[in-house]
Amino acid sequence: MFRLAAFSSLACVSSLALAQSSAQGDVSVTIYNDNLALVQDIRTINLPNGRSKQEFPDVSAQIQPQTVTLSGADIGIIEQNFDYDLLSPDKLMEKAVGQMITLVRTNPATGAETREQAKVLAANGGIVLQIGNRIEVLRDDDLPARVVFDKVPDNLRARPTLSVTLETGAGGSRPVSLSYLTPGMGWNADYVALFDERLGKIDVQGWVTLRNNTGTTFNNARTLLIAGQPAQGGGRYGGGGRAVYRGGMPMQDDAGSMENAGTESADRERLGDYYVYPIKERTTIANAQTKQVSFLDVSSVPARKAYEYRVGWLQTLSDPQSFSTVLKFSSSAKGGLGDALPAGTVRVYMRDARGQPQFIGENGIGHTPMGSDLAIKTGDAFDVRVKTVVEKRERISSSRWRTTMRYTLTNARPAAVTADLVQQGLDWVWMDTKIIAESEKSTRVSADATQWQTTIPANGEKQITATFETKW
Amino acid sequence: MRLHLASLLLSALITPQMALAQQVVTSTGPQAVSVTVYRAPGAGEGAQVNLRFLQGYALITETRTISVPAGDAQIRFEGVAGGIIPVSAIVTGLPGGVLQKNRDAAVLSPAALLDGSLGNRVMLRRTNKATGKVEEQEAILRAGPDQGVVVETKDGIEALKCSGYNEKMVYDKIPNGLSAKPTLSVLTRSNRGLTAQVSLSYLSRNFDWAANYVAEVDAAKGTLSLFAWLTLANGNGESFVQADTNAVAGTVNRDRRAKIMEQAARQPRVTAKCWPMDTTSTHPESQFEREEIIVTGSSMDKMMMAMPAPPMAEAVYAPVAPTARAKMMAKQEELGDLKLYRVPEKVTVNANGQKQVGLLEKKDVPFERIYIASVWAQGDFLTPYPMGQILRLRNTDKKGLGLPLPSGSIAVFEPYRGQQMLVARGPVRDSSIGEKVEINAGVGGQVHWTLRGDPANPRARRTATITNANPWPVKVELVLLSSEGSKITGVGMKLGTKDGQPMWAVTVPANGEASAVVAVQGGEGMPPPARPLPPKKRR
Repeated sequence: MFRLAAFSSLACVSSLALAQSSAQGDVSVTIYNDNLALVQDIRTINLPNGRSKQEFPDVSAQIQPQTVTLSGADIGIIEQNFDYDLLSPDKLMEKAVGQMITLVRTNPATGAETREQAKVLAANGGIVLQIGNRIEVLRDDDLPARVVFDKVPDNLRARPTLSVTLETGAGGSRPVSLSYLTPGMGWNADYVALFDERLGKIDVQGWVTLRNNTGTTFNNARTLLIAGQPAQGGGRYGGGGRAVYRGGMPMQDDAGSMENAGTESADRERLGDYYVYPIKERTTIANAQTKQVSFLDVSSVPARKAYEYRVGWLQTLSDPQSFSTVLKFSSSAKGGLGDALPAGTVRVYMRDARGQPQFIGENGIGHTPMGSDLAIKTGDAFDVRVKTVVEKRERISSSRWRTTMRYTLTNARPAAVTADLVQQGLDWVWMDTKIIAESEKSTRVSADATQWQTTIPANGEKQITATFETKW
Repeated sequence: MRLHLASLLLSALITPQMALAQQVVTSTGPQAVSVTVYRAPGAGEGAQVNLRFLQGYALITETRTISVPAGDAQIRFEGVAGGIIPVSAIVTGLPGGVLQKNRDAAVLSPAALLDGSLGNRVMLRRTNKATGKVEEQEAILRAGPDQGVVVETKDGIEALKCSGYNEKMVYDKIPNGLSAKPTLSVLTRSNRGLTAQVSLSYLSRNFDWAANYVAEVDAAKGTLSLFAWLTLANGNGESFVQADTNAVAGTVNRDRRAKIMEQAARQPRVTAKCWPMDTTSTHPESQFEREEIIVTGSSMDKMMMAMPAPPMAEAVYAPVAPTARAKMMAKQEELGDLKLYRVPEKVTVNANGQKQVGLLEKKDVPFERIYIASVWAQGDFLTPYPMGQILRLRNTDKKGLGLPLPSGSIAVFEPYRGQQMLVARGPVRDSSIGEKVEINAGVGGQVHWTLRGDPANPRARRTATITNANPWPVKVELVLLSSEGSKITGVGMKLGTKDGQPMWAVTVPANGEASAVVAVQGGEGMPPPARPLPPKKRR
């Protein structure tokens, strides 16, 4: 009888739960780039006088319980518990060792139901039961038998649950603010750039994309996005988005998308060094959801196309290699996008002969300050290519070699193009390379690389030769 | 308890109201669609369409007619490709613009049903196997789905699927926010109701295309006719009916980081785990411990792998009947620095289907057949080694070609008693107009080379000999490689160069042979490799 009553009260709660409401209160979510979010949840709780244990359901399933802070008027915290002993059939049986259970069997022939009380003696590999003064193994005969337990043992929970024991001198209802950190949420930017080659302009739309894989839906939340990764310990190098993404210091220059870092300040809210992107209206961030909100929309920004190829070392490339197609523009307020750009992916589109935008390539950018020069490599040029030949390699003394390179640059496009050809690998630890002769003047951009900026005629080719003197 | 109840009631009051403020409009499908297929990033020359694992992608642009209500509305786009990359979606044409784009990956599955019903009332149905008697009982879900399912009935606490009875749960509703397929939706706000032409474009995975060339050699005329198929495939479960279809050639950059971001959220799965079930008559003990009830979304990939194999991509290489030719040829356009091939008529790109249309065609292209080998000139090779054949063309108008050739694979046919026979197949690399094109035409057995040093003076006199057993003269190019710092010169004749290396070019008479004497100077200290280098591979 008592059991029945308990059941009906349970049923009452559950029918309300059917409305799928959440125990969350006024929720604010601050999301950082690097899979981290700060959740603040202000719930109204009616506290009794003295000590009470309060459970907080509907927190992130990935909550970092050690980061929980609770605040409210006139409350003191006795202890905070995070219980993750989960209710499962196995645990249920394990905790029933030494206790009485009910066995329900149905006679397969007659359908008659019999009930017996049994004591669980052990649950190691199989269940050993004592029924009256018999000892049996559960379902040893392979016949069905229901095992019914009286109650769920304490501390076994369906989901990991946060509970706090509070003490208050003044009972009654009040707002209590719960805040914690959780992984499982992150954001980045996605940019759509429509390039008009003829006019030398791009239209750019920026979207922030946020993802929630915490296992929990945050209802009607005030949402802030922070462009940056706060240090999280563990000796991580706290640099730009790209470097952190790789989890360390860059070992070599990988020709990222930023050519020159800008020095302008964007007209946006800031938190220290980080820009803050608030989402205008409250929004529900559902579990397993990807949400995009617009934050940038500019049109007719000057942009130009460039070609670039890097020859790794003094090598023969007998098959012609394509130059990279690079889209160059600025994030400056003057003649640029006029904003700081959070790290993300830039997808570039161009109209085809029928005027329909087609995708021509994408690339990632790191957090980019306003005023930076960007160079987005979108792909390889089908018609602008280079072939290299080591024409001659002679030893002129025991430690000096001379290498003559011929670069054949070809352009199958109906217009002349300007291309940047970079010869790298000139300073590999101790090489100390000199350029003895070259058919066209190059710019030595570093000890390791020299660059020719040259024009290749329409439907034509250009030959460049250079002689390098190396120690190896 | 009472307060908890009150707050629940309060939220129950608020929620439907807010739901009312936002109307839901579902667009079931597009009026017009265009599909532009891109090849797998990093797919080099010789790449084939692998129907089991399509690694390319497509840009899909759709036009839909949508009646947009006044006020806030959620517009749901149904029928988009399953491989949609949601962050790439662009929606234009909504009068109030797009406030938000959402992609809900939580799909209706047994596990999601269970997960969403946790703490709720369900019906537990037991069927007696022997009598067929069905019993239903109210139960509350207390735990699941990850660690096993526990329910509470009026009898007490029980574990599902541990009793040996046939048990199942019956739900009375579907938890909110679960739909049959991952759905893209946008939030918009319009100040009046109207019917809008909305354009949706997005990138989708699970497409690919390749160029499959067929060359038919007319040895007598010294020409070949070149034909290529545009082979495209859609591995998604959605068909694109009467679509403007294009393919893009060239290398398009994709962001590795974006690829990671695009990965879908993990779908929950149900596992029924019971207490240990060993009995005195069973062995091994693990046999009954776990029973998987349901396979859910996350296991689908594995299921797909296990599905019967679609026709092998290898078949594409196989001799394509070279006589019946495509009537419909794709039109090539420039797209920035890429090449766009447009299928001139609307075609239907079928779900899980491969389609071929003509990509390009050129007849009577003159070529030169050349026998090639690269030889380590400091070595001694007394055994005759066969030479590889290449067909060399010049990709210019004047030389009968003058077309951008996207990379792919080629099958070379030559006639034999009036029938076209396959003589070689291999990769083709991207070739722009003006370039030299070399098609690998296999290794025959009639032209061989040897190289031997003069016993008296091996460095100064090394003799290369080429023998030709064909009843016609052949052109030969022998590239002479040697160690760093050495120099190779012809004795009594001049050597040419190829890619900076000395090369002996000669025409060997029919059923005859030709020899050349070369000298090697300098370059001590580098031993020759043990074996000769194989004929230079066309990468």
